Amino acid sequence: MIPKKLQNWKPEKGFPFKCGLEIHTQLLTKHKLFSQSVNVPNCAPNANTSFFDLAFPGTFPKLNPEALLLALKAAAALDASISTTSSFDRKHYFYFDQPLGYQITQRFRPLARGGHLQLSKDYDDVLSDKLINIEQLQLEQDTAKLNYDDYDSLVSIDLNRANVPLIELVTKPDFENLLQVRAFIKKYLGLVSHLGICSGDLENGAMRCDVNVSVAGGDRVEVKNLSSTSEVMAAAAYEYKRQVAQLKESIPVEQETRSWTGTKTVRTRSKEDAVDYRYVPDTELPFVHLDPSIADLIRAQLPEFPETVVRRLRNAPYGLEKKYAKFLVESPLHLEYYYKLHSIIVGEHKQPSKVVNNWFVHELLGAFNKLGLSPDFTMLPAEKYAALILLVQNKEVTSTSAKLLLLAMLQPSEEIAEMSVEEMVDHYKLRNAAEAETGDLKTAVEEICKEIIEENQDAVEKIKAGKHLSIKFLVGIAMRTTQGKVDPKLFDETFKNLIYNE
Amino acid sequence: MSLSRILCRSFGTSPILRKGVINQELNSLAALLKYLRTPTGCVHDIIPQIKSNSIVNDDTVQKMIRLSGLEIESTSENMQMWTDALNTQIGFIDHLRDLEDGPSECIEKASEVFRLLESDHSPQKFLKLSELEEQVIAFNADAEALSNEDNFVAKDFIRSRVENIAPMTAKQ
Repeated sequence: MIPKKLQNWKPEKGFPFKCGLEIHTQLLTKHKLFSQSVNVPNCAPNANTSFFDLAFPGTFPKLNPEALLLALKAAAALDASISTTSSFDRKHYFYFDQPLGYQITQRFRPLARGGHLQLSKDYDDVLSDKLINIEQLQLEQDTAKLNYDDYDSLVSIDLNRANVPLIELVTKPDFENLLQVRAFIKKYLGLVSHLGICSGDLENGAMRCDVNVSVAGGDRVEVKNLSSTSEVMAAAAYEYKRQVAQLKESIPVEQETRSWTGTKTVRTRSKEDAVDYRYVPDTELPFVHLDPSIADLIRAQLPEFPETVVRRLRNAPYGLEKKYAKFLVESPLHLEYYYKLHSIIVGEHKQPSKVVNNWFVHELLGAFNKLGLSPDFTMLPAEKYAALILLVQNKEVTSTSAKLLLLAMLQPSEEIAEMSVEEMVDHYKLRNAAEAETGDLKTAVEEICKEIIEENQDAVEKIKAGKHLSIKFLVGIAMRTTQGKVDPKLFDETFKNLIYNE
Repeated sequence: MSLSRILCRSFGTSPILRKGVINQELNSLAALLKYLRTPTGCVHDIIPQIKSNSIVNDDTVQKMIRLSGLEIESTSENMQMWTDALNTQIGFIDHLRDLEDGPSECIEKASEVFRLLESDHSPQKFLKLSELEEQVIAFNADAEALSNEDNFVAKDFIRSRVENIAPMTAKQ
């Protein structure tokens, strides 16, 4: 869905918008790029470090082949031309986030050049199809994370991120509007997440972006270090507006680097003050010589691309909405879980697909959201969740009870951790009352309804006066009274009988 | 082994000296000293004359001063002196490079000439996908094994440094 703000955004007449992106993406390797420290986010500060990450004298880098393999997968997926020989270079600068005094990157011989990503009207929320060309793709190491205190008086350095493998993707300046920029970032991130190249976890800095904006063929301005799609959008829109205003006043736009404060871009340095990084070839890392057949072999091994999977998920037998299909494709773990659930409920038990879709998208993901947890499917194996859904389908528990049980399963106590779904139903006494003798149930329901009617005469008067929907209020009270053990339809029917036929 | 013998042997067998020329045999200290004291050329002769299209100009010098963070008075005389000096040095570097390899693209060569990595100088071995996949498995297994043995903890290291330094500073 296109946000309203962007739907109406277009470049002013006479001031064409031109934009290119540099996207840094963390690779999902087990270990760091040039050391054997583990690569895991959200750990205690400086827990994932080794001698090389701290730049101890006498330590040497050793290329992690997993990072190379993942970078090659990204290059192959983007149809880039993989270099048979690539090498590493040192980019020098002195700052707290870089203990070595230089960053190891690929300046002179990047891993891959060229390639493209196609944005399509059907899939990508753009107004027309657009091909975005890629300049190059290179491997490099991430820097340490600096944490400033509230008063900027103390900086603490967390070296867990130092030497984490990154790929830097540089696009050609092919973007003509903000919708294309947004669509490209989302599609690229979706692609690398789907292929297991990147976690896609923006909150932990898995992707950071620099955006280059120029107006009407003028000098380009680079806005650095943007950490989310919305930040890129806001910074690019602001920068375009600023440059147009300047050009209207006949003030030329100067080539410079700016940063985003959250509300505006501010000048960091001009071209004159550009940092001289003194690039030199790294003398400690050998060249990477790749067999020319490697690109084709990797391409052949790549799984289906997100677009193909989304198309399949939108059609029978899945029938998912586009936005949910795209959501699933972005995380291989989500997708795998969904397939498993679908195969049990639809494949084995012949229930309709919409049952799985509703219980997966709305109830399960909704429950994680409600509890403030990020989805972790190890907490609830697909088989166990399927058993719960099937109990609802077989009318052994009501959907209200099942939702309560779901919440309990996602925050398990020791008491219920080992219980099966059936045992949990009995433990919480949530077995559907419909299993009781039909006559007994009907009498009990009638008694409950009569009591509620007596206590809520105001609502009853409103219903009689024509506000028929107010009957849901009474059903709600009845469901709370019976702790969701009775089918709400039965209450609805009983209330209607008692009120209208009185 | 005496110093003179080491020197004689080193010079006598130096691959640089052997490259393309037949050397006189240096089997005594006197022969060595004679060899060293006999000029084969004058550095000043080979330093090129400064040309008007030299690559170092005022802008370059200004930028170097700015990046160095030094507070230097950049009068026109000083600027001229530094520009000339830097152009002379670059001219000499170019001369040495031409002597070694003949004219060449500096970026292409720099990484190969000055690197001492064995793999750079052995015949190129192209990595196949199957080999890369094997390397991934081996690397991760190796790292896993190491993590079980490795006791390095950054926090402890920093603490130990502080503990070592504290008594010294207290003494001072």
